[in-house]
Amino acid sequence: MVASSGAGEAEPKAKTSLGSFRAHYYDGISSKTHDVEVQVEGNQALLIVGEGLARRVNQDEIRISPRLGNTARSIVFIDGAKCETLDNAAVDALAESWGRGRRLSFLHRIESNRRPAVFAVFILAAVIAGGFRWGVPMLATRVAYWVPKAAVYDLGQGTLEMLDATLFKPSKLSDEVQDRLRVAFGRMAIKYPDLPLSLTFRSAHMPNAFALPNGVVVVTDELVELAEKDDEVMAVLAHEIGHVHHRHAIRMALESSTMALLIGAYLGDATQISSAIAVVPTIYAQSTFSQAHETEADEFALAFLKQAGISPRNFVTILEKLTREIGGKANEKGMLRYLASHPPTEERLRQFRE
Amino acid sequence: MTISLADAYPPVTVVVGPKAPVQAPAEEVPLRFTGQAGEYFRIWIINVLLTVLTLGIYSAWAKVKNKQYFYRNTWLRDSSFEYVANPLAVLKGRLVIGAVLGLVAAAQYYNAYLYAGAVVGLLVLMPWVLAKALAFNARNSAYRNVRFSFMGSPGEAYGRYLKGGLVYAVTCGLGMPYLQFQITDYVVTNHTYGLERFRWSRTWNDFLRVFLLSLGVSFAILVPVVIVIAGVVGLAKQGGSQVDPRLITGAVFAVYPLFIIPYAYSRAKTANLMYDGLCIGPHWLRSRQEFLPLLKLLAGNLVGIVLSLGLLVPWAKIRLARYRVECLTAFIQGSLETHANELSGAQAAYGDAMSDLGDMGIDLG
Repeated sequence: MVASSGAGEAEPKAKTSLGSFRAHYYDGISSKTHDVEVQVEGNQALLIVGEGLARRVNQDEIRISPRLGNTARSIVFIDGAKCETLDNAAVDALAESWGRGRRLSFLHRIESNRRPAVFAVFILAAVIAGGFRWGVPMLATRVAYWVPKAAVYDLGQGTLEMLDATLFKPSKLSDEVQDRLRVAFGRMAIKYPDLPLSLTFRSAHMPNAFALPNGVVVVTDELVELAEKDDEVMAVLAHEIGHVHHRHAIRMALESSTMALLIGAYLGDATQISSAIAVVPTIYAQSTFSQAHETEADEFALAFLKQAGISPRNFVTILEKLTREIGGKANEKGMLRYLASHPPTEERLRQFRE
Repeated sequence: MTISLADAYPPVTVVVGPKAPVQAPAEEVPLRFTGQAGEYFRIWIINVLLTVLTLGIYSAWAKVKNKQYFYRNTWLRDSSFEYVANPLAVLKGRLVIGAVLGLVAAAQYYNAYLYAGAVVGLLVLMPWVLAKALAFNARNSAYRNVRFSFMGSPGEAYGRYLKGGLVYAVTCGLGMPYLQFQITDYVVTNHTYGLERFRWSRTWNDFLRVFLLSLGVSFAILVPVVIVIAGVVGLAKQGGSQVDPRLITGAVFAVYPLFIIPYAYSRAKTANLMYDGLCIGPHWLRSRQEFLPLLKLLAGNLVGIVLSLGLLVPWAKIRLARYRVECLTAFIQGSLETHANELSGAQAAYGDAMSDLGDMGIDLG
């Protein structure tokens, strides 16, 4: 497979008898190439013979490199000298006769056949698809509930401070409105004594509400203003309590990092060709997980509102307003991201209408 | 940034500038690449499978086998290159660095300030990572049983980054080519093959030229793209009420692949900057990567990888490696003989693992 480079130096020739094979010998001190013949002395040693060179090396002072495709094979001696040859068949036969065959060609046998490769493609597809659909979310949920409560609530520290320093301004809602909403929220929160829930208000550029893993639920003035009655705000807050209750923050952290590792193992090398290639499936996985969480929080909100005697219609009303509001500002970049993480609203709202 | 550890090591063996006193005409020896996509696919898919099934442990062996495959299929005269890293050293580095990066990633969810601090800490480590990763890679790269080595200290790396970074900051980014030059010069001139140190005669002017031309190509693509998108959005706005956000997202995705054009340009030119005229002892290299052939190749790779859901990654890597190697020609004066230098002890693989796992922008090519 190697064309002559025209320098008149002989190529190691493929010759498969166990008795001897051609190789290049390098002493490890200079880069001079010695064309040699390697003779196998039964079970004991190799005899290296070339121009001005004759060397006998015992079996126990020789390491044979594992086979890798049809690449040049190294036979390394204890003093750092080595032989390189393309005559893989001869080296395989030598390793076999020295009882090292199994160890040195085990992986090569798998790697050189079509069937294991096809098999590997199917297993990988199953592992990645199954892991993505069921395995990773299930595992993340298990781990999320296994993590001590204190550690879960510790997540996201500093997030609010950082948002305050950048995006948020203090709330301009009157104390009266804030207190009224807090009391209503408190009536909801009291049903979940194991969650450290609290409500806080901020002013931002858009109607929004989100929950931190430590139970702090943040509502923007704009959302409160968008709602016509408090029950609409409560409907959104019930959804946010759902996120805290189901530990979505830590589950998302676990899910997306596990998927990133899986995708990295598969496409990792391709990033050299274009890192965008690896980004697309990662984002897709994340948005799928996020949609599953939203659905779960919706189900929580639905059950909760029914139980609390608040009409689920309120959730429909406020989400429709939000969609309209967001649609109007759809040109802004942040909105696209918001939409991507939320399921199509029509589908979401159907269960609340019924 | 345009330095790739992989680039730093395509086997390079030769020395003396094209303008050095010439005794005899140098012999022109093209480098050859003998890797086969089918053969590599089978090795690659088993690597990925074992990596996934062992929860990442096997990735150390996979990395070594991958590099071995490409090195051993790169030929200069009648010898191929060799990668001799110990997978256990690679594994140790990956475990330690993986744990560190895992903690940093966890900080992201734990405390926003802690996370920001950790990320800045990692950035500060970058010159150290570069020095250590290059040293590990060089120490484990060999040709004719004589190893390469990298003599650059982390201290020098910090100096170069500081000097380049300062110019970069003061000129608001226009000093980018100066920074690139500082880093590439650090990478190239600190390498040795045996006793022979690498030399080159590039100045930052060469980098400036490539930078400006790449910028020109980028703008040539960017301007029509922006005009078309603005036009579409404008028409949609005139025609109806609101612009469907999906239209904009779709347009962005549709034009995104166009940026492979300036990427291919800059990649080809930067590779030539690095290898063309690189001297080792009395020998030197010529590199002739070209914009359009490389663009065709990269575009084909991109389409192939996307359509095959990643199964053509090995094919793409083989094609790219073949192109890069076959654009190299060595000019050899006399024989290729040199002597091994005194090797310092084994290198720890932490820097190498960091550049592999941390995706710290050291790769790109």
